Amino acid sequence: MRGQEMLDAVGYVGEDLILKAETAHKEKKRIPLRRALVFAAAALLLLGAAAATAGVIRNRMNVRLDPDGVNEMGFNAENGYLVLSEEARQGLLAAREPDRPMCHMYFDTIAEWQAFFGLPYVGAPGLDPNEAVTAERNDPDKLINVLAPVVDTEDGPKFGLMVTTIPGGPEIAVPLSAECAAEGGVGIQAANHTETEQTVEEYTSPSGIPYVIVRIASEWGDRCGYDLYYGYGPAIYRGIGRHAIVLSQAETFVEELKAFADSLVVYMPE
Amino acid sequence: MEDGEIVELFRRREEAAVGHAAQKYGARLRAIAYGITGDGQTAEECENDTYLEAWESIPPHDPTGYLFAYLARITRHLALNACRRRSAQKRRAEFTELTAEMEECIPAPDDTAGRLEAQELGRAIDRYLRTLSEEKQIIFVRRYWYLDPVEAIARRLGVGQSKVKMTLLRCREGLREYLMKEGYDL
Repeated sequence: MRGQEMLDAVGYVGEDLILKAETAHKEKKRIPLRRALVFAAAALLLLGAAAATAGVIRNRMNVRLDPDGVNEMGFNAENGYLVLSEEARQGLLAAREPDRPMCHMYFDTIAEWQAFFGLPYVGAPGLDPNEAVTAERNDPDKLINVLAPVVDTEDGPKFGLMVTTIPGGPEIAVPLSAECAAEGGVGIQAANHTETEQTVEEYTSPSGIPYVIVRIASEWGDRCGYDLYYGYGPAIYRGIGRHAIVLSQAETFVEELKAFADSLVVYMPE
Repeated sequence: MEDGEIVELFRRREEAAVGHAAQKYGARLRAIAYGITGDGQTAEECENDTYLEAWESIPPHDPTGYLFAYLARITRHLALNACRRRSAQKRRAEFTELTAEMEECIPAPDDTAGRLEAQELGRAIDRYLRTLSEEKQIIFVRRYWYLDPVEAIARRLGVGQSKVKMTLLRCREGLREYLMKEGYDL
């Protein structure tokens, strides 16, 4: 018997163990999360002070669509999508994984992120981007999502960007809600025509970000779970999804998503 | 579509079974294969071969109620074989490390007498895992079923890598002792 045969044997453990391990996920330990939140809060205070001096807060209010479909940060809005600059688009395409319609990019500073993307950064400290990938990959959502986790690394926090693109299509854009643009609130994009979404609860996070948790149910009855959406200014930052094998499991996800949403922070352009 | 309906399509030899299985579980199966092989194209091939094997094995098998686990096992098996087919140089270091770790669980290495079938041994490992806490079960299965790197397991469970490594070490030692006590001669 060799190690490889032992590995083969492990393949025959019970189905329940396989499924339990597949869906297992826990929030980061409280201490690192708190540390990250303290960092985020300190950063927000510093940014707030700087913003007040530099008049940036007024810019935040101006992150809106104008009647011609161009917002004051220079992005065009077409058919409900916020379209990236060609340079940014090419950058994302260059970073796209060869075998999957998505890409990850990480920036050392918020300034770099915003220079590339041009929107206020809404992040969740400590979120594991790979977990988010898993959630996205289980999602037949054909819209384009942006996830912006703050990734803790040995060299300090990195500001991440994960974009999923339309499978097979060249477009990369950020979903934009007209309602969101008008009211500064959050909007919901339908996930898929075969699925229904039911709003479970709407909140505003401690950092002032409106968000909504929706329950996803497939017409085919083969998918259940909850998705979190949050918005800022005109952009919808699609949050994370928790999708379950069985409905009873999904019922536990609401509190988990609320805890995640409560950890959201916003970083303003410098 | 419910698993039972998909299985029924397989049983009736309707090709739509493959499409429905792919729609429902394709991404997850591909993720398992990708996690093991680290190669997108190979992962896709493993996924497609999974449907082929399912087509050939249902019937007689009837995985109603555990279709995903059934397909996932096939995918895992195919992905492991794909890794083995690679030359030693190209084999993922992670894969080599994993097999070395698993050898630590073997009470009597290379003793061919009384060698067990993988399935029977798997059932013994399953029984051992059920003596452990849920967290240990998950860590063990993520490492040796899904072949996750230690770092990924630590991130997933929100614990330190050292804890994962220590848990795995104790699990391997425990499994070795368990197999010895149960009289398994590997």
